[in-house]
Amino acid sequence: MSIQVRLFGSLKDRAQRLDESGYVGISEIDADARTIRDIISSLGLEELEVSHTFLNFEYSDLDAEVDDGDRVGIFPRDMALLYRWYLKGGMRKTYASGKIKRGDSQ
Amino acid sequence: MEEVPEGWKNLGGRGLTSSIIAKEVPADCHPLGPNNKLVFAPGICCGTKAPTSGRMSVGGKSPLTGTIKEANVGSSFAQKVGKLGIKAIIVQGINEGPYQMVNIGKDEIEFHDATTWSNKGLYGTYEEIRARFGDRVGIASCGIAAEMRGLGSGVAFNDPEGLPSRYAGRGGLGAVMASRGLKYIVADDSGGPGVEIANEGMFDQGRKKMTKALSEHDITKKNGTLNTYGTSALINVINEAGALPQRNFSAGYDERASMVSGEKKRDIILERGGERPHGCHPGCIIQCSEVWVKEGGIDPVGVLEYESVWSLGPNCGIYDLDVVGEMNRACNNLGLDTIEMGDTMAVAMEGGLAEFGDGKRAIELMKEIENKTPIGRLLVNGCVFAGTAFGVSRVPAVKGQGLPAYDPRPIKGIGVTYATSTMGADHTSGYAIAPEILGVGGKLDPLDKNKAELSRNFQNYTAFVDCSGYCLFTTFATVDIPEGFEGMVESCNGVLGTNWSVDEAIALGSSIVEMERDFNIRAGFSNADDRLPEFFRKEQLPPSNEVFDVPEEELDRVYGK
Repeated sequence: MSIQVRLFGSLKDRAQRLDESGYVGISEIDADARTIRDIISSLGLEELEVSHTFLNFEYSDLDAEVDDGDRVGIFPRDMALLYRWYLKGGMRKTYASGKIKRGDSQ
Repeated sequence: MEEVPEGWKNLGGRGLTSSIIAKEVPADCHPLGPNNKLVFAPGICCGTKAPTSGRMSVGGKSPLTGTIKEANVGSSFAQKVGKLGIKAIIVQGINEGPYQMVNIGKDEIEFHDATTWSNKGLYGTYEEIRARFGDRVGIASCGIAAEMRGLGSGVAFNDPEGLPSRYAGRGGLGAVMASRGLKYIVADDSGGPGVEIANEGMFDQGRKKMTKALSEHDITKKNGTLNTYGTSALINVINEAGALPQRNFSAGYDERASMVSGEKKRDIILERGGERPHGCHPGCIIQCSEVWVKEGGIDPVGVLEYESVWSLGPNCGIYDLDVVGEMNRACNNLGLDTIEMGDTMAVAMEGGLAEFGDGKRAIELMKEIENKTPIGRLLVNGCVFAGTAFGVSRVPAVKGQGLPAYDPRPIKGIGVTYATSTMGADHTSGYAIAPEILGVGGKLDPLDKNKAELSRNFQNYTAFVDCSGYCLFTTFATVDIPEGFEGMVESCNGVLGTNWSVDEAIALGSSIVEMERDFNIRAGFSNADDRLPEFFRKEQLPPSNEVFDVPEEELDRVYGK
């Protein structure tokens, strides 16, 4: 299935190309991915490198399921700037310490 | 000089400004008339060695909203007032003569005729004032917009470079200051007594816990988000959330937003020889701020915050950081709240005063303000006034105050804050927003319990933070690291000699919010005013195509009534 992935900040250079600003990386991937977690893994990213993730303009956690034609946005750890419960799917202990794994419930 | 009344001894910041206004200002007074007051109160720990604690509250009855108002600022001015042993500066009565400057030092309070520093841009006058009184002084002021009694005027303060780039921006408090006849407050803490600390051991324990929390958390630590990109990291984040309002709240996403992203801004600043990171006040260990400069490293502006970049940029259809920089410079120079000015410009653009995206015209229109032309007089009065003048019905305001940089249709939680805050459409009074709202529409998160309680707690928590002198951004750390909040409470206990528990601190926050709500009720407000404008309910916002569909009963439940 075909997914458009946008990689922000320090992750941008792992993408296939950059947008007009030069600051957003864009990749079209043909993936066997089921979830955002799969996409992250297929890009060679560690979960701990990632903070906010969006699916079709909706804040989503790593277990969100992706579909053909979807758009996924991935932000690096040093662009985390929302309280962890700020938006739907945000209930994760993510930012307090590098030792806490993403996806842990409160 | 007055002694602090017993009942106010343990208050600071917003707790003190709201208490004084609630007690001493008739809720039905005219905000520009003789019975309003303007109160400057440093937070409890402001001026101490506590990290990131240089915050002051400015309070009054707002001429923009008609509600009680607290605006919060970070500046060495705040710390100098604290170190002079001053808990609050209350500006009352109306001086009919020329504008005044009041100089506050350890031994004396002096007045100077401020005519020579009036009807001029603040970048220039701040330089002249520092040349005259020394560059150790802190300066608080209102600008040309306030001289016109503009409802969008803020109170400007110095940053560490002496630029007028820090603001107690929202709610038109600049006009309150000007209408008292006061243009400048200059504070010099040389030889001052310092902040009295009742219990050094407790204070030290508390401030160390806060330092530890700030140093550990991804958002607040060195090389973390705020230190690296500042608040503008949110441009790309909120755009990707489909919630970055474009062209007067007519869309939530534009691919050009990345042209004004925090990541790009940072690189340009570093290339040009501006500054990043940078603290807005000495002793801040987050250092989220910066100094934007023009090509060649000249003409420093100060920080371009997320809110300012959004309001003067994408909300006006502008995607050029140099234009945004010049617009922000004009706002700082004229004494204008950037959020309200951007909201106003966008409404005026929709009404045909300029094309969306016409940065050159937008900058020319700021000149009209500087020259006090009739169009200038119109533009300083906020987006509701502009909407009426230009026949625009899409006016994004609650209780008269223009909305900040999050559209409430995809982010319903912040819509609840906008609607129910005592301050009008305000993103800071309950920024960590209601998980319960995330459940509206049937998508309940099974991990959430007691959502209404959690929601109310956040607004109360924030109110306590606003008393403490700590910057609101410390809460990014303290909500995840409980010892950080303990540290906030313990350092306040150390300064005051109190013994508050964490729960008691939040209860204090609650009592402040209740006091503010009571003032607003006496000023004529009711639940009917805790609502968003109609268009948010009716117009779908692309790309999510959401509307704000939180039922009115839910909005009324936030305060449990």
